[in-house]
Amino acid sequence: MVSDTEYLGEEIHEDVFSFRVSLKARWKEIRYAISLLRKSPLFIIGFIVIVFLLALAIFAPIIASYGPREFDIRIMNEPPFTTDERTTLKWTGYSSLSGDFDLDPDLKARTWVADFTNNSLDDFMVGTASTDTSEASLLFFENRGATEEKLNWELRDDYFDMPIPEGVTRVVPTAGDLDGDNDTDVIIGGDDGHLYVSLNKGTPATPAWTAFSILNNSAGQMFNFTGQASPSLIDFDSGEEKTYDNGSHLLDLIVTSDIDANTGRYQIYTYMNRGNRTHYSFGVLTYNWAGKPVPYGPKNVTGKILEINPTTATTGSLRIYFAFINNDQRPDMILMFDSGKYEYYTASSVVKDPQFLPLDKSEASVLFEFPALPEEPFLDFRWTDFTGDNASDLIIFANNGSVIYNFQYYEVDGRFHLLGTDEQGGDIWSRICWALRTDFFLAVWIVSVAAVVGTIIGGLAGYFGGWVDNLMMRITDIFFAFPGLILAMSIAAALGPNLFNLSIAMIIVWWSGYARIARGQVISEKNRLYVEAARSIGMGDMRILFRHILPNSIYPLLVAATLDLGGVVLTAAGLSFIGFGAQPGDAELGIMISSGRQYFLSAPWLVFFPGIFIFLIVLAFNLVGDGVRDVMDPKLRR
Amino acid sequence: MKLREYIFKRLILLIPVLFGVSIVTFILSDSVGDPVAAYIGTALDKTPPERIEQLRVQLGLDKPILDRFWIYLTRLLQGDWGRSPTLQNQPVLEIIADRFPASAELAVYSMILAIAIGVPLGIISAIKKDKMADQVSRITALSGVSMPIFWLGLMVQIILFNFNVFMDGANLPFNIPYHERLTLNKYVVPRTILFGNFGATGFLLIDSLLNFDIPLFFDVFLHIFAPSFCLSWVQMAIITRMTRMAMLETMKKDFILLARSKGLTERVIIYRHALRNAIIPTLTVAGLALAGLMTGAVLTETVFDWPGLGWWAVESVSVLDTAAIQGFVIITALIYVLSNLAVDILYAVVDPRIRFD
Repeated sequence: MVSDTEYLGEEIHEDVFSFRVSLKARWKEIRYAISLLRKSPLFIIGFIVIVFLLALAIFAPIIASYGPREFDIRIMNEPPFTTDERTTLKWTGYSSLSGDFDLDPDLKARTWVADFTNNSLDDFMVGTASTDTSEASLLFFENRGATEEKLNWELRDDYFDMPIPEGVTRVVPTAGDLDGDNDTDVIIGGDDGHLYVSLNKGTPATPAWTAFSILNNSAGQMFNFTGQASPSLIDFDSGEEKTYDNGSHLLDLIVTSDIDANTGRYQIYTYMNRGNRTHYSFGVLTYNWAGKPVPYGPKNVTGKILEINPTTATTGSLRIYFAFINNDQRPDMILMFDSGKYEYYTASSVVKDPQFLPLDKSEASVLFEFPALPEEPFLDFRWTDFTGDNASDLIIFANNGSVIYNFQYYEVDGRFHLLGTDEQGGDIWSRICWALRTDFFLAVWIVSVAAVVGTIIGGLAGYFGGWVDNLMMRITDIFFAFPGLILAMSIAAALGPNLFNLSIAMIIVWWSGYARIARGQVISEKNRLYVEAARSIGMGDMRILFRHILPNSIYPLLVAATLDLGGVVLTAAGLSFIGFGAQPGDAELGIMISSGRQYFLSAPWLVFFPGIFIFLIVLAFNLVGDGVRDVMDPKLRR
Repeated sequence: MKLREYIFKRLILLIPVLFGVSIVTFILSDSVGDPVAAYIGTALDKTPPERIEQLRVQLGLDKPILDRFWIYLTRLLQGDWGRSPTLQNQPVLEIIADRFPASAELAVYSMILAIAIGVPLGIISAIKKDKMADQVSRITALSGVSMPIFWLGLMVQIILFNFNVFMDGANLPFNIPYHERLTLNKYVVPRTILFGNFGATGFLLIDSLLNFDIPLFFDVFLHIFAPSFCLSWVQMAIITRMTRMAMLETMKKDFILLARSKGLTERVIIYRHALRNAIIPTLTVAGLALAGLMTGAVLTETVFDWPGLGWWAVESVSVLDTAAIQGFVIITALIYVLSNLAVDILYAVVDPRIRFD
């Protein structure tokens, strides 16, 4: 700029060239305007309300106790000033239980939980294998139930005293009532591949155990598995419609074993109990991993045989754990390998014929808040409701003899519904905070884009005049010929209703107003001295227009934009109300009113509060815009 | 320039605007919906592709876009505006003729209310400028502009509903309704009565009076009350502000000073001299707003199930009913443009300076 002045070789006042100087001259005027605004009470009220609402919008993550898409049909249409009474399942976190069991660090524990003493407290049967002595033992821990949480196990040597069969160095116990006399009998799997059974012929309190005998199937053949046999007694076909004596509602046997060296595959064998109440009779093999699918057994959801993910299948034995981990009354399944790898499967079918869906471990915690098991080799765990509160609890036996527990409990949500909840169970106060974000952003975005586009088009039209002006003004005429709401509605519908398209539609409708204002301003400015001076030193048209004329004609545009903000919020909310903007689930004030409309006579708060907030935003914008206009318009200032 | 020439010039200028309107409408309707889908309806999935292709040829969709625009334009001028599947495939023009009176009646009635409240409020606020009354009327007016009208409608409905419940024991001869235009199951009104010997306006209030059907008049009156109250609240705000501004301008004119110096009372000055001059811009704004409302107050009609153009517009846009969208967009633009023109010409009649601009 300075060099230009020197080039002309004469002294010219600087503000002829620089719009910045001209802006400086206006700064005094702006300061005077602000001093006037500070005396206008309505402007100040509007300003305070906007600041308040903006604060709500900006700090929505802190203020709103519910997320923008947090819904729960269980709490729909709750009136204002209520508390969220929903209960959710929580975990206590891991704590140690090693003191109760006091296991040798060398031992590898294989456990089973059952109420042996019939006192409604879960007792532990722990089969052990020592890594150095190669001597197996079977320990019984009785639950004394002394503590409030019913966590008090104590070793009782005298309860189960049968010697482990000859040649067995590792035992995996399982227990259940096999002979229908209302006490608990024991089956163990040995590392020789056989199963042994010991029945309680006494009473639960004073047992009389039979010596371990090899378990045969109904055909009289001996069960024989590869390596370690891990049996589980579970009523697999519990939901089946069959008479009692026909074998339903009896404990069935599921056995897993070591990896088959020939096939390189793990096997899961299912033996249905086809005996009667007093006599168990596990049928011949009804299902195995590589066999044909039969009605009962682990299958995937498409009814095919469940494939073990080859990456997790390593060496050693496989164990199968059934647990009701997500409280949907269907048995879920965890497959556990000796290496410590494990996989979750959740049952997706009916109770009597479960079909399993592999679960991603990281997703599992999202679905039902599931604590990840530690990936340690030779881990053993029990997943049962120990505390008797209908929530599954977890006790883990680590391979170093330590025992930890993690209990689930119900927690009342307890969050406060200041303004009640809506028809989907969303908290209205929180949704309003989130919606304020949407609406503020929408208004500022629409007005600023429309103002910029309109100013550029109007500025070009005003500056160049002639046919450019004529063409552009006829185009704005066309847009003025439509009622704004109807045009915006049609465009939004054409583009497909969502918030972004709504904003595009409204920009298309809104820009023409700014174009007219900008054109008028540019026409009045373009004959000023500084423009002529700029042109005389050979400055380009675009540079003159965008660097000099437009900055000097920005104030009326700013006033118009301020005045428009309220109208834009109102129109955007209205369009969302009739379904051409926000979609159900979006946090937006208009859609909140529209979706609350079907309940509004019985639950008026669904409609009342969002509307009040629209009203407040628009009123505040209008108060501010009014004040700014009064100050900027000298005609009204008198 | 003579007045006749001015009007002629303005009418000529109207042609490019209307042409542009038809282009925008064509682009809109062309991009909004698939005419074939609208034609076939729900059976689109079952229709073989050959049939769809045949339909495309039949409807002229295979032609280039300029040809289609030409066909569209000629049809428009011939009065063939298509049929609207939203309303049992009635011809669009018939629907417009049928529904326009409903929207217009609501608009006129609410504008009368708005003027009746807004003008006095504006006068008071101008006389007592910056006093308490001015601030109160300013807040009232601003609250009207800021009111989301669909929300106001729902609130009015809640109040009326609870009022009806509350008055249930009182055995009133009527309930205050807040839906539709008239209680059909109570008064089954044959079309011949509505558009019978005396009344053919479609304005139910006038028609029922012309036919001496007092119960019908009363019913229609109750129905129109709630929506027109909501509409007039917003319009009232605009009119109040306009009146205030115009009054303040006028009170500074020299002829008011003259009237004061003649010793006229303030009352005479305000109502005889100032108001008559100040009312012109107010009535202009009111007239333009009325034209806007006539084409359907979209939100109000949706909330109150009012069987006017606005309700039809929302319904047809949400099912992408191409013919209907074309129809109402053109009719609204036409009314808008014509009323603007009417106002301009009226100005030119009153103020000859405008003609020479």
